[in-house]
Amino acid sequence: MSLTETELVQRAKNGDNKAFEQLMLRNQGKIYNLGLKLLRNREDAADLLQETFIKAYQNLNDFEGKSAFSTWLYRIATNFALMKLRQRKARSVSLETMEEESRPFYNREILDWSDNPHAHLKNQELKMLLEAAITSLPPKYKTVFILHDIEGFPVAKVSEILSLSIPAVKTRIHRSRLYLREKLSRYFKEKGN
Amino acid sequence: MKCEDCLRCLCDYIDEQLDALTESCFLQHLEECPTCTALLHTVQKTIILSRSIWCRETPLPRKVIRKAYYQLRIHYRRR
Repeated sequence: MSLTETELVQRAKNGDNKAFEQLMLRNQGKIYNLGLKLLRNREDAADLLQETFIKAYQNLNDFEGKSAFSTWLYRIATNFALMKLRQRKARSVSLETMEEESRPFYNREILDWSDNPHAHLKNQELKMLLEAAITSLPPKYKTVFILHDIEGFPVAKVSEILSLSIPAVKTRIHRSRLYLREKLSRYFKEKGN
Repeated sequence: MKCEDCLRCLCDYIDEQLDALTESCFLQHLEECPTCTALLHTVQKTIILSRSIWCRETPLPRKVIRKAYYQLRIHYRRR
């Protein structure tokens, strides 16, 4: 019979290391893949997994069960990723550039390329451009965008994982989307839509 | 609803978080405004493309699992 997450957490807190490993086993694939998306590097994703295991083990008694255990693990993992991403500051676009390029535009003509026959990922040029644009998002935007728009977590869950207010999460999602859209728009503009 | 208001509602509309009244004003504005319609379509397409980029889960290499559990077990002994 398989135990529930709450039962496993309780056992792990009482010193049952096998129960703790069961919890890790249930989440390891998702944590590693989140690491790959955020850090774009297999070695760093492996470090993220390992650090998440160790930090979760060391701080298990601080987990109060107010959120799901997996949410708590995601918080540890994203904190590690944010630290790594901040160390690589130079590889991201500056906050000023990003905010400038995602600024609202009311009086500009907007090109609708959504039905363009080249707007799909078999178009390697477009795929590479989009991947590079997501990778270049400033860390605080990238984590929110990946958790919400790529991993599919609802806004409330992202706010819980990152300890951010809901309006702050929404603002970051909004700006990230507009910034990435702008990158793709430039591509289609250059290609003559 | 003006374009500025429409832009402010864009995120919540995409995430299906608008209340019925605001959604109806939003959709009414879209009918009259090709700029906001184009913006909505291209933002939605950006999200679809982004989501598809890493849609396949990468299998966790055995070597990575072994190392992670090995390091974890070192901490068991320290507790």
